[in-house]
Amino acid sequence: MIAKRHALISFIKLYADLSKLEAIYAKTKQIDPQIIKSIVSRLRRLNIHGSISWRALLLFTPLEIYINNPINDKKSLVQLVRILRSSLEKVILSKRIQVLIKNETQARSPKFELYHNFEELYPGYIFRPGEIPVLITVPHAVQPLKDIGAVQIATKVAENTHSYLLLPTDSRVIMDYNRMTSRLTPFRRLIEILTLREKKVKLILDIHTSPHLSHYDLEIGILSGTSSRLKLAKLMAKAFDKKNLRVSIEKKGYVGGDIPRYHAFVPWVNIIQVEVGMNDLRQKRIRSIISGLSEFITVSYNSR
Amino acid sequence: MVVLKIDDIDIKIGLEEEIFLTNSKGFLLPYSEHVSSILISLLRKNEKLLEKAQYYLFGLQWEPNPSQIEYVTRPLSIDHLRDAIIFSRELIAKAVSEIEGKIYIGSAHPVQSTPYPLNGVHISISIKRKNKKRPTIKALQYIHNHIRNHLPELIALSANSPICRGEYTGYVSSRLYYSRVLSPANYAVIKRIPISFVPRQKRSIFRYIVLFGKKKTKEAKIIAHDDGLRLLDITPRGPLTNIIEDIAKRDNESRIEIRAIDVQSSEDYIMDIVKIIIGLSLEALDKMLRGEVIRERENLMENRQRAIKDGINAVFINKEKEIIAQESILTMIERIEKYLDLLDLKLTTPLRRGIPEIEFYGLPEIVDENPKLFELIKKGRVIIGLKCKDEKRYYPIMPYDAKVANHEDLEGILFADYDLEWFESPRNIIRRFTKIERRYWILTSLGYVKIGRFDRIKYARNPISHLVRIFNKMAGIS
Repeated sequence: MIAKRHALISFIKLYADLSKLEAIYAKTKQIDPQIIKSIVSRLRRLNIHGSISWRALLLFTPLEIYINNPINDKKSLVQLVRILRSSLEKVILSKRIQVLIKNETQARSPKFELYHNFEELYPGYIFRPGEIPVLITVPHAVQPLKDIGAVQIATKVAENTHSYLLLPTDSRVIMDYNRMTSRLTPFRRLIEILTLREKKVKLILDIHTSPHLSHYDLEIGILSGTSSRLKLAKLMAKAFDKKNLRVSIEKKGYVGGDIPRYHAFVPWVNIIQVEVGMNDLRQKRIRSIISGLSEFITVSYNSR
Repeated sequence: MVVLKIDDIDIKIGLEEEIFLTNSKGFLLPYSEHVSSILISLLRKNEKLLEKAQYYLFGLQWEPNPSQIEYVTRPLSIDHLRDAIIFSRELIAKAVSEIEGKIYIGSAHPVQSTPYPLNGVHISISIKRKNKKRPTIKALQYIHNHIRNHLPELIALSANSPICRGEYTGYVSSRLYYSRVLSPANYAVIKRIPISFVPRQKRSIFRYIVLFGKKKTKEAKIIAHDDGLRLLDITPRGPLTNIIEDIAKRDNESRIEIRAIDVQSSEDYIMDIVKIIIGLSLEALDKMLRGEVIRERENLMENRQRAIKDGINAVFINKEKEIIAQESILTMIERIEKYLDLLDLKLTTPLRRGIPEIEFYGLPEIVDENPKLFELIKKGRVIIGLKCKDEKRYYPIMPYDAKVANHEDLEGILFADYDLEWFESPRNIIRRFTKIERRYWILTSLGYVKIGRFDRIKYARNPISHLVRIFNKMAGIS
């Protein structure tokens, strides 16, 4: 147990070093070799703690940094440092690391096993490129257990705003793209490529619908501010208010799933989960939601 | 000569069985909440089905993992138990089929139990005189201690979970080996203890340290665990015990609960195990009536461990001598058959010959052409360099990335995928997995490439070592 606590402390110290390196670079455009040495030594120390360290690290670091890292200049190094620092913030804040520290169970840690036949699953998505840096995803788009009405809303909003659109071709019964177990799939890899490698997407709207949202028309989830800036959530709430829709921010517990948890890197990549109440899916109301979302995208895109 | 008067006694059996929900590909389906709501709507629509469910079932229970669901039967006579098991399994299968799912009746999922989630079957037995409300405390003690002495045999007969995370664990009952909630019970004793004392371990259930609700300050209790722990491999239950959860239970809920049994895919097997438990209970009562004392069996814990590891092939230590588990089981069955004859009960499966389900149906086949790669995955050394021996097809992430890797060196992330085969009967009830096939892939920056048998791994690092390498390289640039 003591060794595991030490692992957490090592993560915090590593985070401090990465922040220091980033801050110094922002001021002087120089990279301090002493800090690099310190980072290396912290990483080595983490490695001594065994599987707890790499499991915790993999909870939130994007796979992209392990498979596509042509780091040959200061700029690309700082980019890596930023992603790592942002990932570590999530690791340190996460309750999951406490689960990992408490017991050795692998149940809640990332796995490099796909519980499906990959060839049968491939590619598993429908993708429509967009023109603005906004991606709309509907991970539960196929029956059974489909989010009713979500595809209609997402497709229309993407059309109106020329946003990117990503829909799965399998039901969540086969592969739930909003869970940790799907991180290796092309659907999730595509999100990472668009946000981190090609940097074509800065904002993701993850659309869901729920029958359990009775007091509100919509709920906005930003994982307590770790998946998006609060400013954006408030801007979205304002857009819905204008359409006379009752909107809440994280009051009913729809805070966000694995897509916002894993792919958000605030402030560069913001992800907002939108949970639409299914109690009243009349066309008029759906039109108001579509219009509210479209206006929010236009306003937030123009404000950049 | 049997002293016990069989016409004078009433035997009731209750059964709790945990079941996995799976999708159409045999992988776990974490939607027990959805399945429960479907179940409720099915029952609301069909009055006859509801009546039958009310007759057989006490209810359904949540389990820690959302891909598990548990049904709990009412205390039933042995004649109705088999129907209740079939009814419950089919009912859950029917509900899950509405979302294109199935149920798997097994203790460990062969791939996704790592080692959790795990399923078990809990058998509760209550034997009392027909004119009494509950069994006597002494009868409970005798039945508990006698069955506890035979737990190694019962485990050897029912152990049924040799595979977790796609590999043989080396234990025929991985469930009992890995379980965190199945501690071995102690030899049960009857003590006069203050009824009101609540152990500290139970403070989350009961906030009180001492309760002054009853006039008696001391009452006879049957104690199998000093702290009143309920989650044991076998334990007495009900108001006569020191289990805090049972403090307010009714007299007729007094029973012995056996939790050491792995899930049996066939209803006949589980019925035969229930019959053996009945036989042992009757034997215990007969011993009680004869005035015989049931002492703790020598080497019980050692034999229990051996049964968990080797199942029916275990070698037990019995009075300084070694005896094969199967022989010990056959002796036990022969001994208890005279009690079963009194109830006109016969063992109908190969258990009668000491052949458990796992032996009868055989182990699932694990197909893995590259087991060394799985070792790398388990160690987290998933960032690999690969030398391809032949031409490979890329499965691009982006549709416009399509290309072919021609004898290339690839760098990326190693992962495995699975294909499962199983025996299903009736429709949507997976009885057992027959084949587990694991293949390996490399996820590169362009897409996915299947790893062949003759491809060579150049290096394999864990993510931290990989980052160390990157930063070391950067020390030069900075």
